[in-house]
Amino acid sequence: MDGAIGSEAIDGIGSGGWSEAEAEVLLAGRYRLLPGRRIPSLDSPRALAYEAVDVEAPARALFCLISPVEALPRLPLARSLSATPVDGLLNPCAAGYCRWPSLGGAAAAFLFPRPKGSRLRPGAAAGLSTAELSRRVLKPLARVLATLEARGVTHRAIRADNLFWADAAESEIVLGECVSAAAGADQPALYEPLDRMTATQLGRGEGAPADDLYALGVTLIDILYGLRSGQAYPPHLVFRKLEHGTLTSLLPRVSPAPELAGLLRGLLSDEVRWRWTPRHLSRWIAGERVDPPSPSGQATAQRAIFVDKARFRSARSLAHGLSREPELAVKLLRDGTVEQWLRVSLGDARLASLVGREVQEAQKRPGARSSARNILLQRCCRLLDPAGPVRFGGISIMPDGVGTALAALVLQGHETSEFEALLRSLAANDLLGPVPEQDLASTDRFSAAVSFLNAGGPAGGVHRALYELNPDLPCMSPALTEPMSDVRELLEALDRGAFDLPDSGPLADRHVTAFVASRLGLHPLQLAGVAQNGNGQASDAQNELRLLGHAQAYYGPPALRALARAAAVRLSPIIRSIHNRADRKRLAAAIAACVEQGDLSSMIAHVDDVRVWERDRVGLQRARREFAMCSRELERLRDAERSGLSQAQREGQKVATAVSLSLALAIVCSVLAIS
Amino acid sequence: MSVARHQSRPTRLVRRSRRSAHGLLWWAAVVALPFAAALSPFTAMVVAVGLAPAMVAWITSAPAQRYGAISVACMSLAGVVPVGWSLLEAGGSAAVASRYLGDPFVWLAMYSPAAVGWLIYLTVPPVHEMLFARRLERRRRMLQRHQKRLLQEWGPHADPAQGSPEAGVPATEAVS
Repeated sequence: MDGAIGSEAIDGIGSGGWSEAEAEVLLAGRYRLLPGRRIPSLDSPRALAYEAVDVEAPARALFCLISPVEALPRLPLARSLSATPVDGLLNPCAAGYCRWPSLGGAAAAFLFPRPKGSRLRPGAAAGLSTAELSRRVLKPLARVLATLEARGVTHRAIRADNLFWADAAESEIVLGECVSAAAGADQPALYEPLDRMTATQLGRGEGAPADDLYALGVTLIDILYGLRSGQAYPPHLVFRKLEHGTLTSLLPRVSPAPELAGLLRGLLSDEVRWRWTPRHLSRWIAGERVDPPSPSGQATAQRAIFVDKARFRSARSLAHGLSREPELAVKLLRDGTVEQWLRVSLGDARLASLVGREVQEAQKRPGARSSARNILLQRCCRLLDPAGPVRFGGISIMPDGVGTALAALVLQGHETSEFEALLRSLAANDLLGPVPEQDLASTDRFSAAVSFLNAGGPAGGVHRALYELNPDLPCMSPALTEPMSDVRELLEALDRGAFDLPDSGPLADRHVTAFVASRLGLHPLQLAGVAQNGNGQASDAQNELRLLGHAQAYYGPPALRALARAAAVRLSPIIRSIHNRADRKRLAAAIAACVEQGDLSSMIAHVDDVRVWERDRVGLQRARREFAMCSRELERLRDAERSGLSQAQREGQKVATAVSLSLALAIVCSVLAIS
Repeated sequence: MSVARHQSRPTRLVRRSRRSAHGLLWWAAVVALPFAAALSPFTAMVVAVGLAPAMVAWITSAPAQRYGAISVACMSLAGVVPVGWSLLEAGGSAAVASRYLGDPFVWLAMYSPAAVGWLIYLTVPPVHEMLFARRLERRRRMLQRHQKRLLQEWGPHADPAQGSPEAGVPATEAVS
């Protein structure tokens, strides 16, 4: 799961097989993206840089970043930055989805003005004085962070290799792009605060401005003192940071200048509430006295606890260690090893009691064994590391990263059952329970997503949960040439593709139906209609049509003829299920007229006409009763025929006797009367 | 099966009517004739001779099939009564009785109604049977025509023998 969510999606991108002779890609009608001209120096971790030309102003120096959709690029943020640029940030000029040949599918393209200066080299600021650092690096960055905070967005990609000199004279810094991947996804773990660093890359969440300031603090250390060994950051630093705190781990041997030490302590405080804000930073840059927070160390035990072969000395690092070995972790929790270590070695009796109580309550918790195990583990990890990610089975994500993590899983085609169990537990408040400051809005959001998850059908399921948890995510259907955010355009694209649809099967895939239902705000239960199949339940095809009909009525376009034709073919069984021949003909004629007009909403309205179905139901019942009555009467006649002829003969004899008697009486009476 | 069994056994009403017919004949034979013999012996003799076909029919018919005998007896009585009445009016003497018995027209007047009785008994039941069969056939055709019309209008599921219909069920909730 870790790998699935956090895998480097850039693997699919490459220039192999691509030649300059191939057609260029046009973005926003005026930017020619040149797939044959790579600019590796401007690559982002998940996006590759290519040359681009503005058709209307060819002299502009531009480049574009091409990001695979699986990287979950931040298109809405890019469009916002394009419309209202932020001074000191590499703002995109344009952004959108396109088909990128070397990816063989859709990709997000971001167009940027090419930075005039180069990317910062490791240790680039080593020789700078504090004043110069403040003027050339911190001042522009503080400006960017203050603006972003005012807009209510985060950058989440502040790191040493994402800084550029604004000009050749290296007078000022420009902060690099933050839109080519999900928030925090490109950040090395070292750049993430303690609470988010152990979450998987695509599940780190949007975060808060405090996370950007933390990343700025790590960036300063990186460009001042260097954190890398070779090309990579040493892995032991991550664990060390987790166990001993940020400052102690990142500056073990170096003592920063006294004026910088306060800045770094303010930016790198592991307690979010004490961490500096952009306002503190601006004041520090302005030369005002800003008191840094006190060093916030965390308790470490003299005697380590072993999980498998790894040693842990702090509660936070233990939480991380336990989540990596779920089976062993549950064993250690249940046999009291963890509780005893917390009580004796760490000296935290309260925490030990809480963990002990969780273990006892877990015995009484209903549900599947694996689910109960995962819940126990998460609740205990939450006690050990209250601000840390949600650790459930093999998943480790921040609550505000649930949407992106799910998107990564679905888009990469991975199994989502464990994630669905996580969502259900989140909605049931099983995982965040011990945390007093739990986010009720998040719980409501998870509950809504789970209700869609449980509903199933074309408007439900995991895809619906995906679009509910990611309201800005466009429709990511692989059947589309590119992801689409506009429902009207989506319907038109479906209509164009409907010519190639077979006579059976869904009209649209789960992405499309879930996306449309999400935009319409329709619950799957609202799709229950009148027309139902032999099992007494509306088929998915009918629900799809109902959904698309509503979308057409709400968003247009007025005519979707190919889609209507395909829908009519799928409605044939339901039309055939009307028993009355005359009504059936009438309905077929009405649907044919709707096909002619391309009107899906009228079509489903005809099918859902309750009077037709009620009349058919009542009429058929009456016809069956009459038929049965006729059958019984015919049976009676057959019996009468078998036994009735001799009876008729006897009756005939009686009649003959009566005739004779009557005749005789008439004769006698006549004779007597004459006489 | 139950209908057939029911029809093969005479009902209480039939049995009662049959008993009353038998009683009438016995009354006629045992009470009326001796009474008539006491009143006018020769007239009674002529009447008895005139009723000979009825007696023969009565004796030769099986107890369960006495309708023929009754028919013949009724008609025979209708032939004998005018002759007997005429004889009584003529005085009912032995001479008149012997003259009557010597007249072939008197014999014809007494015995031809008995023949008509036989004729009625032999022709009415087949005609009744034919009419009954025709009525059954007409009813069957009407029912079959109705069933065919139902099938044409509602399809094969109108026949309950075809199993449950794939019926639409009422709306649960339309999309708002």
